[in-house]
Amino acid sequence: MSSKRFLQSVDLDWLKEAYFSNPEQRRSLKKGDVLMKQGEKNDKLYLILSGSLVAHLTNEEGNNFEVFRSTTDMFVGVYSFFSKTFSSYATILAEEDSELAFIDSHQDVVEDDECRTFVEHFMPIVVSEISARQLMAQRVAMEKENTLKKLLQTEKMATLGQMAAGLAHELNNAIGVLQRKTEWLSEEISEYLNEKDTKGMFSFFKIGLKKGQFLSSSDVRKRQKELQSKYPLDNNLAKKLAKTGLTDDELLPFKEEILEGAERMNYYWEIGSTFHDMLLASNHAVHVVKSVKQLGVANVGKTEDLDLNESIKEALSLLKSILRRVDLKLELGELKTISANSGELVQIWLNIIKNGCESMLNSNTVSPTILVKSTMKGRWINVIIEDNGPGIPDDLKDKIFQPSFTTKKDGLSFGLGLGLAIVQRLVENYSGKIGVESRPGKTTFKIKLPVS
Amino acid sequence: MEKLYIICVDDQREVLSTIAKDLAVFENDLIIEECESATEAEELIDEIDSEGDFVALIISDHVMPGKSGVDFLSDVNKDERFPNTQKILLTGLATHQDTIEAINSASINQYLEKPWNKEELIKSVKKLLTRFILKTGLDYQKYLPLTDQETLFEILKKQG
Repeated sequence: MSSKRFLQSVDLDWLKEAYFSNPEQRRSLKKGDVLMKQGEKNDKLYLILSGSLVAHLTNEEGNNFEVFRSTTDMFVGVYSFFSKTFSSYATILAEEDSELAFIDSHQDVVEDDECRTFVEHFMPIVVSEISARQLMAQRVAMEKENTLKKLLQTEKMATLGQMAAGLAHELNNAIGVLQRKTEWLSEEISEYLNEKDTKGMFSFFKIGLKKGQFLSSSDVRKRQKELQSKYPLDNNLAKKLAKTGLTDDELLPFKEEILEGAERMNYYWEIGSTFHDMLLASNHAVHVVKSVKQLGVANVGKTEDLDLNESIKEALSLLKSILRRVDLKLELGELKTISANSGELVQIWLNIIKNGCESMLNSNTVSPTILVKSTMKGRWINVIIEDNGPGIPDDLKDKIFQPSFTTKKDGLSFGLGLGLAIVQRLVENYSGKIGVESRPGKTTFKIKLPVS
Repeated sequence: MEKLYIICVDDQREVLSTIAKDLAVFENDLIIEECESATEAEELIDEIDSEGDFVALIISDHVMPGKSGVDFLSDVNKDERFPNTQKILLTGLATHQDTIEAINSASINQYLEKPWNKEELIKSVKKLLTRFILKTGLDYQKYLPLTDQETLFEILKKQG
């Protein structure tokens, strides 16, 4: 950026020749020499023939800051010269050894073919200097604003992180206890029932524990009617038996006892399925707490020579249940190894894939498909995760990476709104990049991570 | 004898079965149905109505995929077939606007927050069942286990 740009309409060479060619009116500065001091007299306009100068201003609070920087073919002393104050508003010194030419306030106009006045000769210079300095001021202001924004964001994340870490720590113990004790209790009860089992009721407990209630409420109603057509059961008992999800074949060994035994069968099944739900819920809670902790604490413990594809596979295995309802296309390329924390990588893929799957399932996307692809390009590993869901609405695109942004609002499935905020943070910690393109029918997350 | 139904609606199966389990004390005197979506519940209440039975009470979650709980309850409220059906909104997260909507257009009778307290739920259910039975003009003597004595006396006293 220089004032030269504004001088294209003026013949700078002519100006130099006409006003700045007098060998008497020259000045040489060594690096560090002061040309003029703030507030002191200056009645000269200088043209820099070579070298560079820098101007500093000290304001009333005593803060010193740079106001402009000028190099070859630029002018200094513009303000004091043309404003007729003949007093410099800044201190100007040589940044390197410099050669200057000058004119003073008594300078006569040099006549040209068009009989232009002195002011006409110099107006372009004044304007271009002012513009250049204004642009510099604007640039500085913009940089400052950006820095401030970044600072605010960092601060926000740090506060959120601390809060999250505190909360996670508090919850971690409580949930850990619940999870462990539920596991213990379900094993103990399982053993106890197995020993006491006289009428084969243990198998009902086990089925409940293993699968929970896997029939939907409408399937339960269908099955209830089916059972009632086969056995003389009342609504209540038939429903209880239907809920267990046992097929006719599985019920066959108990055929004789169904009428008086249905209540007991359901009872044992329900104990099992209650444990199933408790384990599921406590695992969810543990998962949520773990994710929140990721946000708060910088993770240490990197592994060298990590195969990123392994972390993708691990994430996919954690998402087995949701992926049963989604078509998965996996295209994992040959990758260089990376130095990373494998848990963090899993977290990245997990969150993005989970989001994609959930958006497709919640919107009843026809033949929901998710593509996970990894490729090597130079020193970058590129991972693409693409779904054919409804896409991210335009007005939400800017917000998806913000903490506490969520479209999920209820239930056990976790909707803390931290998923993508965590992802972005993790990717940035690896000096990577993440971007998203989305339209209805195609949403693509692109993640780039550098190999070490 | 005509049958009474309580319809529970929640998209989360584990939550749904927990509600139903809490209501098991009523099992001998009415039928408790579980639905995983508002649409499923709509089909079911159609069926119940066409059999000539009664939808006494609906307990619904609000935030669900598809039709929301408040929208569902508003539609039931407008439906001439269910003038006396009592409505509970049971939800973990409803905005201020949702709540206003629930009261104004769905005329919900009770608002319960998740996680709910079993005793409180049962008490509310009893109170609302009592109201339903008396409003519909059923013989409350036949349904004593479902009724809340206090509410019963209160209403009967008013009716003189």
